[in-house]
Amino acid sequence: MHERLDNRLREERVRKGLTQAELAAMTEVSRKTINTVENGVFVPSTVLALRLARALDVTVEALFQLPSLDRV
Amino acid sequence: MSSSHTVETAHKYSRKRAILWALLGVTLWVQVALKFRHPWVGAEVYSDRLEFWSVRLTWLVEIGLALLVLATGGGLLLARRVRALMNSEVTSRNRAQALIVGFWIAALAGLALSVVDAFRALAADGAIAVLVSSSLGGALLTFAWLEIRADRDA
Repeated sequence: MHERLDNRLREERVRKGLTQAELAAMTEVSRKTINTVENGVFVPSTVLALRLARALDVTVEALFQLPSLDRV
Repeated sequence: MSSSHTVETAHKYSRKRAILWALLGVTLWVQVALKFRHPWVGAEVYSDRLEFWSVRLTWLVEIGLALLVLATGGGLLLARRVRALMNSEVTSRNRAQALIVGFWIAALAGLALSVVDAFRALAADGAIAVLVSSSLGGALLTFAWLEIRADRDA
């Protein structure tokens, strides 16, 4: 099982001009949740990953990727 | 959709909760340490029934409060939307991890107390207090630490 998940959440959020609080409000989660996902501390559930992707208008695959094999 | 204001309110209360839970956890652990004033967690000596009941009731209220907040996440008087944000996925995971730590502390404390009891009989109230207070205190401190760590760079 992968315990890590690479993500581009911060980049996509900043590209959209959103703060952590604004993205949290759009996805009905806490600011802490956005922060820990961005920092790689927390691997989101499938539902949350889908909500984040929808809020940022990107695909889930564009937001989250499994670490490349040499880094697993 | 929640407003940014609601998110910030939940964030503020979430930080306060971590600090309050840490304080409650430290209080419980200090009380465990004070139990060792008496050799081998011996029975407390009370001057009268009033002192006995005031000490016992205070401890019961503390433990009841710790159990209530660990079971519910606390913030019971806050708006439902704020509470929901305070107990989102990360916090639920942190609370689950804190409960696991509390369980292991209880198991190890029980083991340690049974070893001590083999050499010197323990007073039941002292042993119960050590077991319950140390495990709940550990769970509260673990939760507080995980929550404060999760707030880094937020």
